[in-house]
Amino acid sequence: MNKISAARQSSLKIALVSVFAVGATAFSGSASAASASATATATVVAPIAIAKAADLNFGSFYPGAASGTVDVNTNNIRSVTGGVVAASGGAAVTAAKFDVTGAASATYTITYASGVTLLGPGAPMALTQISDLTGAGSATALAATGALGAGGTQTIHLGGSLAVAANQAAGVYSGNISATVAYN
Amino acid sequence: MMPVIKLRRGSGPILALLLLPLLFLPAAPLHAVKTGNVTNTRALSYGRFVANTGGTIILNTAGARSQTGGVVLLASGTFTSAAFSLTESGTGKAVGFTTITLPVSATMTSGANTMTISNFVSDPTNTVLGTGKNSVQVGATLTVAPNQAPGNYSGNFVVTVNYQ
Repeated sequence: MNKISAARQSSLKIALVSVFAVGATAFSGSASAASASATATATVVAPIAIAKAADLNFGSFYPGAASGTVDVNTNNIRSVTGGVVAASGGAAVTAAKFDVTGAASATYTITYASGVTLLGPGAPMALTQISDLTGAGSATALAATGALGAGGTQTIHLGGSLAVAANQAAGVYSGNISATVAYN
Repeated sequence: MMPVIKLRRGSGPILALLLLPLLFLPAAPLHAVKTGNVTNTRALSYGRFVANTGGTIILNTAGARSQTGGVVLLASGTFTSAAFSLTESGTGKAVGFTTITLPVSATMTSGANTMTISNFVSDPTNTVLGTGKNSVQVGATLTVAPNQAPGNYSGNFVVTVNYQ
């Protein structure tokens, strides 16, 4: 009798252990989590700015019996066409200069005031603008884009061709040009 | 004679211990779940912008960028939402991803300067994903201070996915 009851005892213990084992396994698989780290990045760019460093000045000239033009290239060199004759003296001939500052190596767009005329005692004189970023004097059109240097600066050189009518009335003529820059 | 009759009193617990490893063996394949894994596959990138008077930049989960306040967004540079892939490994039952836990905020630094990211959003949203979903896109809002110092900012954030 004793031996048989011992056998019952041990099988009861096995049953209890087995319930515990199943319960523990089910619990360990019920909820888990996995994580991953990600990088976040942003680049704050210094504001772009532009400032006038020189005015565009065509100097003095004589109108002729025929119309013509007086031209200033980006290297401050003046030439005339048609009936216009260049005069010495008066204000120095200069191309306009705009200094652009901003983030190093940033590229940007340039836009200009259009339809600029110079007003004075006589008929308005129309200005056709040209520009470059070097001042080399070979500009034939307006530079539309620029790229700031490693120091975050660049200069826009702006010249133009001024249309002078035949017998244009004498006097001082002036107008406003502008350049606007924006980052790409 | 039956073998059980040969058991002596006190041998029951020893037998139970001997059988214990055997009990775990059949239980494991029946109840184990594969391991769920989350892998970051794309960074959260706000691209390039000018701070001006400050404001916020919102990146949605699709990676579209918008701004508030004086911030000027620049088209140059790349901007993306973050992406994570969900996978499972090992043997057992298929993983059922349940909820996504997003950070409340994260900080990006550039030298001594900082910016804070908050209002994290995810697609799918942080509700039940369901089995079969294998990627999560995460966006968030960046707060930019007035005249925020120029520089390249970076930081880290953690996304946790729960599964069963």
